[in-house]
Amino acid sequence: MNYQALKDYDVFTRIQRGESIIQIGSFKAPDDDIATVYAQKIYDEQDWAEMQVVRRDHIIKIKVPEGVFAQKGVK
Amino acid sequence: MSDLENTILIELLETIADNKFVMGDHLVEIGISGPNLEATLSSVAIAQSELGHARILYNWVYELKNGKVKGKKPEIKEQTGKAFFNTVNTQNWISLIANLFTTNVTSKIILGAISDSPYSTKMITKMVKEQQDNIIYARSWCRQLANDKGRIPIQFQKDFENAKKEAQDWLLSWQNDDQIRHFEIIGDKTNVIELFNEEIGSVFSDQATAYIK
Repeated sequence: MNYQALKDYDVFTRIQRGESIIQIGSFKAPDDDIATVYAQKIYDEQDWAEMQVVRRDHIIKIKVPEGVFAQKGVK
Repeated sequence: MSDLENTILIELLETIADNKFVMGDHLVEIGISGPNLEATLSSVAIAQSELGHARILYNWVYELKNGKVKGKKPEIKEQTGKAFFNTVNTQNWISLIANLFTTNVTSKIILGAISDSPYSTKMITKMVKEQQDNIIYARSWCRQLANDKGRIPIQFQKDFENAKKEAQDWLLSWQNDDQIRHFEIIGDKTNVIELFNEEIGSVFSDQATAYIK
């Protein structure tokens, strides 16, 4: 399999109106079309009120925590 | 509905239901050892949707044969023998994907035509919508296999051509059937072969190879 072309996607859902939208998981997919199918088929344990899938490299990171042992030089 | 109309509609619905029934089993048995976790989990979920659609179609056929019956419909334990040869003989992930795509495109075209005809029901329209996800899944995997390394693309091409030919032949037999057109099951202006080739061609479009480089 050619895994080089796979991209990371994150799945965000809202269980019902008024609740917060939370990140519930992630997966790898080759394109946005199949990512929408994977999200619905893999994370189908609830009847979500809202579901969104985002390509991870499209997320703009503002602040990212350091690794737990970063100060000791562990990456 | 005349007896002949009934028979034609039953034949069409049973073929689609049989393909879905057989494919539902294969998606679990073969899909469980898919190439990655995402593909496997989705395969099992798609199996549930295929088996659910098959049950709805078998129940409709039962009503066409026996009239509206209250209560529980009989449980379906095996297909009626109309499933495509290549679908029944699916042996591995490559042929599973090839057949999943061609059978879903076939049923999309036929059920789409029925949903535009006087025989349409709400559940058919819903089914056409739902199986679009199965087509996206199968198409994406067709593209991945067609662009893979080693012998995989060669084997895929072979399995895909076999599955395509069988589906085309089946559709052509209905396309050329005057009775169907007379009964408006497939509208006069619907060219099922053209629709099929259009969908099938989308696997090998330029975009298909764009992301695997």
